[in-house]
Amino acid sequence: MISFDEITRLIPHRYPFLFVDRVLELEVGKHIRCLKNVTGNEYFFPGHFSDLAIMPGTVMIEALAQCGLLLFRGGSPEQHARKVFLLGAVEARFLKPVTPGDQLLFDLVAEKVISTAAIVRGVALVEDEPVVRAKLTFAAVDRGAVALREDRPA
Amino acid sequence: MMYADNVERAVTEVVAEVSEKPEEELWAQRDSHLFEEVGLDSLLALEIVATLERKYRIEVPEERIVDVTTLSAAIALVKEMLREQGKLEAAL
Repeated sequence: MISFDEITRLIPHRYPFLFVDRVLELEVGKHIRCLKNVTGNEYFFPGHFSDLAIMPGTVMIEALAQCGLLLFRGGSPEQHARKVFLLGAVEARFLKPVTPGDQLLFDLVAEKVISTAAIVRGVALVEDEPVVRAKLTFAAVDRGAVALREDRPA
Repeated sequence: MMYADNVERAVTEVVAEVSEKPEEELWAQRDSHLFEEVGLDSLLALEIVATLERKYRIEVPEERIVDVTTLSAAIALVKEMLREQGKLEAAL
């Protein structure tokens, strides 16, 4: 098991954009199972929506991406210390709304992992029922490459 | 389009789906570089390779993924991998 504190040493995400509470199982580069408890105090609920709290699908994709990053990076955080992680492609299907009180279990398997990128397939479950299925492609890119992009004219 | 065999046809279909480019255009420019945007090239190449691996039950080593710069290169790589496994004749 990997605790919340240890997760913050493995990936750069922080509040309000860290959506993994605990890693339950990890086979680096192959499979990961993570947990997130959804509370009514999540910062996004007042805006999504004020009279009906539903976890945004985009946030669940981000949570799956963070699990994928842990799957990819868990064994060698030093190797990626000066990298940023960019999603390249997402295919997703949202099956059921997620609301305060739900406990999300994320199960991901690696479809293809190389040293600079990965393709992962995952499902988010609430009480054993799938709520999201997704396939994510992401890359570990040198920080310099992203800085160059910022030089582009607006 | 004048495909010489089924591997050429199938790889072109996969590359067209992943790159979101028309098959006709890809085939006409099969020796041109597939990717222009630096940084995104490795992700698209990875997606193409992963799809081809599933389709043909082959395993492409990481160091060969950078070879997938053109459609012709992707076709040649698949044929090479199939030949190594003795499955090329059946796939053609």
